[in-house]
Order: sequence, then C-alpha cells, then structure tokens
Amino acid sequence: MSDSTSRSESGTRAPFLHEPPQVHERISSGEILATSLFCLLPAAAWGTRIFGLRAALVLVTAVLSSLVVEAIIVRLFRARFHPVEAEAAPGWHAAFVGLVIGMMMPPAVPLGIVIGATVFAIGVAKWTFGGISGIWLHPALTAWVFLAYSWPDAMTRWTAPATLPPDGVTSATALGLLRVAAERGEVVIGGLAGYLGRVGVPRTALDAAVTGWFNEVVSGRFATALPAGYVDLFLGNHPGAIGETSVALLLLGSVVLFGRRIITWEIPTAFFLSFASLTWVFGGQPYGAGLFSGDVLFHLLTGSVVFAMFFIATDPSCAPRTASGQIVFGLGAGALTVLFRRYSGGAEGVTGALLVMNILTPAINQLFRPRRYGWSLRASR
Amino acid sequence: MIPLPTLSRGGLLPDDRKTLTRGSAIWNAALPTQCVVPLHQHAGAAAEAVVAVGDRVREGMLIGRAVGRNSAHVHAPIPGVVTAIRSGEVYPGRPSACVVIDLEGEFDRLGKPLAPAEWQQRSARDLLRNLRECGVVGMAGGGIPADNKYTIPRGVEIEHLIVNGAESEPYLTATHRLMLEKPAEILEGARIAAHIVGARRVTIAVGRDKRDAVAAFRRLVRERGLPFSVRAVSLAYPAGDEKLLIRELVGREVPAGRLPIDLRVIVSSVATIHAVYEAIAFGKPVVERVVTVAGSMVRTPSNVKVRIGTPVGALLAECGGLIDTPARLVLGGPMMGYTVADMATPITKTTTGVLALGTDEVNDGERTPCIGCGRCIRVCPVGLEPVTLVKMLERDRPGDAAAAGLADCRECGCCSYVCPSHIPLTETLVQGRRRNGGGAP
Repeated sequence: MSDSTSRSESGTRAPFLHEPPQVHERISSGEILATSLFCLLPAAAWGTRIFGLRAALVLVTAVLSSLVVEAIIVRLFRARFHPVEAEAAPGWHAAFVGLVIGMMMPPAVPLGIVIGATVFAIGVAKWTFGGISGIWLHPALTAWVFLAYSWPDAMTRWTAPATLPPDGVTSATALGLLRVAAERGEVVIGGLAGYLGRVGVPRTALDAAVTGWFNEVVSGRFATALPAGYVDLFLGNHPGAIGETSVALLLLGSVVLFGRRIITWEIPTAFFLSFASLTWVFGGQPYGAGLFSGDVLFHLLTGSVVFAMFFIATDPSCAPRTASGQIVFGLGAGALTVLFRRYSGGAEGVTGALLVMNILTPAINQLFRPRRYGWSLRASR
Repeated sequence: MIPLPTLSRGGLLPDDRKTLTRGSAIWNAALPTQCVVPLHQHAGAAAEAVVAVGDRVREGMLIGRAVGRNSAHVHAPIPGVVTAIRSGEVYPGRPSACVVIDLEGEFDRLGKPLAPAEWQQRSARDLLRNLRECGVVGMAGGGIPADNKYTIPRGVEIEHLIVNGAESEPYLTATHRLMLEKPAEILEGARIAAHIVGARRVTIAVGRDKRDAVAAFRRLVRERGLPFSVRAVSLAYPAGDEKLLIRELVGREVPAGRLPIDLRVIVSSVATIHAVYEAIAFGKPVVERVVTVAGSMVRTPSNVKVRIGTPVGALLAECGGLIDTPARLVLGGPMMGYTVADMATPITKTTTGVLALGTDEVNDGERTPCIGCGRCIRVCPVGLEPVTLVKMLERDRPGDAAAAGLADCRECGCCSYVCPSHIPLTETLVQGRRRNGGGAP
C-alpha cells in the first residue's frame, strides 16, 4: 500500500496508513528518564544545602560530563551503534546516570575523579554494550566501584554537614563509626544512633525537639521511646555522599515515581523486606547483642539503602523484567546488602549487592519467565 | 489506559472512551445512494459474482456465491442496478472484487415487520443450510462462516456455547447497545445456536462495565426460565479474546496450536448470534450491521445500523461529518483495527467500528531505544516476551521466535500500546507471523 491520501466524500483528506494498534499510552521513555531525574532533585538540592556549593559543583560536573562524554562517543563511533540508540543520544539517560554518580560522591571529591567516573560509566558500562538497551551493569554503580578501588582515600573523605553544630568532632559517616565500634568489640545497646551521640556526634535542635515531641505524644503510649539522633538521620543531618543523606526527600521523590507508575512495587518491597528482616535478625550481633535485636531503623536511615532501593535497584535497564524475577532480585539485593555491610571491606554494602544482582539478572530473566497460555508446565520446558 | 497491578495475567485497564457512544441508541443510517459490496468479507475464498453489470437486484438478493467451505454468500444490501464490478480493498493488503450497486427501485423488507418463524422442529442440518444461505459469518472480526463453525465433527459433543459480549476494545459500544436493545433476540439466537451445535450449557458473557446489559439478560433469563448463565466478565482489554474468555469462564486454557472446539467449547460474538437469529427467524441475509462511529474527530459519535457496502465517508457524513482531519481513520477497534486511506472503503460484515482519531488519542511517538522496562511482558495476556521475540525477528532468527511462542501471539496490540519507547512490537510480531506462516489467530 502506498502512503497516498485521497479525497473523501465529505471533502476531508484521509490519513496515512498504520498497522494496529492505532492508539498508544501517553508515555515515552524520555519522560520516564526525565521524571526519574527530577525525582532525585530534592535530595540532590539538600546535599548542596548541607555540603555547600562544592557539592553543587560536583553534581553539575557529573551531569554535564556525562552528556559530553556521551555526545563524543556517539559522534566518534556512530556507525557502530544501532541507529535508534545513536539517535537518542545524548539524552535524559546520560543526564540521569550523571546525577546518580554525582549523588554517590563524597562532597569533597576532586572534580577530575568525577569526570573519570562519568567516562567509565557512560563510555565503558553503557556504550561498550551498545547503549541503553544493552546495559548490563548499572553504569553509576560500576563507576563507583571503579573509583572506590582507584582512589579509595578520596572516596571516603567525608564532610560535616552545615546543619550540624560546629563542634562536631568527626566527619565520619554513621555507618563508618559503627563499623569501627564493631571492630573494637564495643557493646552498643539501646539504639545505634545513641552510640553516635556518645562518641560526640552532635545533634540539631530540631532532632531534640522532634524526638521529645514524638516520645511524649506517640511512643509513650506503646511503652517505647525513640532514642536521640534518628530524626537527624531521617532528615539528612549527617555526613555521607551528596545525595544519600536525606531519606525524607528520597522518599518524597519515590512517591512521585510510584504515582507516575515509573517504578513498581516489586523491587523496593522485596529489597526492604529482606534487608529489614535480616538486619533485625543479625544486625545486633556485631555490637554484642544477640539475635533478633538488630537496629533496622538505623540501618535504613544510614548509607545509601533508601537511595538505592528506589532509584538504582529499580533502574529498568539492568533489573529483571518479570514481576517474579524482580521480587527475587529485590530479596537478593537486600540480603547481600546486609551481608556486605557486615563482612565486606567497606562500611557500605548496597553497591556491591546491587552489582552482584545485576550480574545475576540475565540468569533471573531466564529462570523467571511469564507462564505461557496454553502450555502445560512440562510442555514449556 | 492503566497497566493492571503486576503479577496479573496481563491486559490493560482501558481509558476506553466508551462514554462517547455508550448512551447513543442505535439508529438507522439513511440508505446509501451507492453500495460497494466486496465479495471477500469473510475467512476463506472470495465469493463468486452471480450478477453482471446492468443487472437489476432486489434487496437481499444473492450477488456472490460462496466458493468452498470457509467462504460465504454475499447479498445485495440495497435494491438497484449493478453499475460496475471492480477491484477494491476491504482493508490494506486485502483486495477484493466489489459489486457496485446504485440505489434504485422498491424495498421488499424495510418497514415491513414479519412474525418470527418457528425453528424448534427443524434439524441442525436444515438450520445450518439456512445460515449458509443467509451468509452469516463471525461478525466481530473473524469472518468465519457460521455454518462452518457450527458444523461439529462427528464424534465431538459440544459442552459449552459462550456468547461473547465482553466488548473490551476501547471506543466500541455497538455490542453493548445491541445487548440493551435486543436482549430477547440475542437469547433466542443463543438458543438456536445451542440447538444447532448441541451445547449442554450456554453462557452469556458480558463485560463487567455493562451492568445494565447484565441485568437485562438476567431478568429475561429468569422470566423465561432459560437454562443459561449470565456472567459479568473482566473489563480489562483483551478480555473478549476467544482464548482468554475461555480461560476466564471455563477455567481451562486452549492448548497451544489447538482450537476451542478441542475443549468442546464454541464462542460466538453477540453480533453473530444476533445475525443467526435474524437469519433463522426471518430468513434475513446479512445486509446490515451495527457499527460504532466514534473518535474525537467525529461530530456526532453514534451507534448506527448501516447497510453493508456503505462507504465510510457516507457513514461519517451521516454522523455529522468530521470536525477536522483525523490523525487516523480506523475500521474496527483502536487496538486491532486497520487504518484506511480511502473514504470510499466500504463497511463489511466484520466492521465493528469506524473511528476518526485525533492526535491526542493516537499519541504517536518516535522510536527510541528499549529501556528494558518489561511493560510489554507484563501486559501480554498469553505470557509472551514481546521485546525478546521482536529482537529475534529483527535479527532474522524466526526459528528462535517460533520456539519462544510467536504462534501464540493474539495480536491484541497491548505490547505496542504500552511501550514507552514506541517500538512497533505488535506490528513486528504480526509481520513475523505472516512471513513465517503463523496464520491468523
């Protein structure tokens, strides 16, 4: 059939020919990626507020450098890529990866390292596999590992947040401090955040006020008490990577992602359940407490678990595609995070956990397929 | 449309725009001054013309004779003179000889009510011959001649007749209106069909969004003491797909590569059953059908009873004409229908709708790289991985695609509908099936 048009009886020109379906959902991949990026912005903005303009410089460098690297690669090697891939670049995906990389950086990281990270993420993790549809390992995680092994010092030099009182004795992260405690064999009872206070980590007045109010109004009725320090951790008043500190703002972004149906419940829920339950069972052991006494709240609020749960683990290009596969992915990621937090070389575990699950994703996709209509289980094998 | 909650069996919850026409009672279109009647409106071979240019035809007269078992007779929808027999297109890629009739002369049927004939004493064989003579075919799109479908092989006992009133395609409400306005006729048609195939059970399956139709059927079934069950079925598209409807109602799946009859089930659409009734009770051939005319570019969206062979342009003109040039002019539903470029394209026995869609309804987009979101997999109602199959086909590995279930595709359009990267998934699968001999579903 030709694409010709013809005059109708009613005098209106008839349209071109199309195969079904004739209608489409009002959504595009660019919109999905752009929305993911915008949902990160509140937490990123908080990072620049507490760590200063230096953090903003890191974020801007990461995003711009990602876009530039992608533009250069596509220009140089255009003929090697699928035209649809090359046409779409540089685009929202590179910007999103760049922002995630920036948010995973310590605020004081040298800008050259940030640029190196984006070159590795976009150049190696993304385009050596042919672009978005070929991605296997999450580019930002891959870049982070690359940096953590190449410049371990720069990647663990933390900055005290501007919102904490200036008498802060340390700018180590909460997880880092606890790890030291575990290595020394110190016994910590009654909430891990309390330990931070005892070693001199300051609190904001807001934390004291909210904790006090909460204990008076809510937790008193249940004969429990919220120890000091958790509100600061939740709001983001603690040292850490630029984008990971404010759990509150990350959750805000995730609500939008759920609302727009950009992410589904499977991965975050499975991740949360396995992470929380295993932390509760085993999390108390390093600090001299028994089984079933882990401080789940503390582990959720520190490090980048929440950031990873909603914004990295859910990245569609390197997570399983079926609902059942995604549940397995989430369960595995949560369990490995607990394992790595306790036994790996660094304090943080979620990066390694997600990379391992990325590696397993092709296998998960093979094992957890949708059940085909009209095929008995035996026949489909 | 909104994807259903995950871990489901696929499908979509439509923003179905049925409210455009749901309240529009069926009205009769004016007779077209000219009908272009394709001789190929059904599965199987084209009918053979039995009239010549210059012949005078009466309404309902045979003009095309079926050639072979899966073919069907074609009748003159209007009285008049055959002015041409020329080639035309029923839909893109399907050319057919068309008999052009210019309206002229007197009507035998219009406005002359008849009493329904008795059929209870007639044999199945006799009734089947009657259906064949009236050119009754599957009117929801399949176009399989009813007499062929209802001819049950020796030794097979049909357990279950399902009357399909799910109508899950967006926009379309013609079946809904027919069920509301002619419930008694449809139940009678179901009795006839059940009698022919010897079905022990009859289920009237009505989409859950059509509560009034469910209620109307339930009331009539109770009043008349019919042994039918009336079931409200899922409103997720494509609930009306034959195989999916069987899963929902019978609780079993048609094995891959087999037919519903292998489960001793026959599924017929409401429109077909209504045509069966008219053929048996009045000896009326299929010369008209109810069509939904909708889409944001139609001035007066309606459900219209229209003669077969009426040009699309004439039908649209009757519905107030077009507000503006449509982005797409579609015959059938938006999910499985075809666009036509020619306003002279005729309405056929299997045309369920005429849609003039605006750009805000089509939501076209440039193809971008797959981001691996898996939406196509989640919506596939038969558990395929559309993106995987399409990659195989695009890399010219049809054997792998066949092994991964290409033949199971229902061509429902869900995967293409949801793909945020606008990858032509359904389109590629359908082409792959055609090219590799997959055949129609």
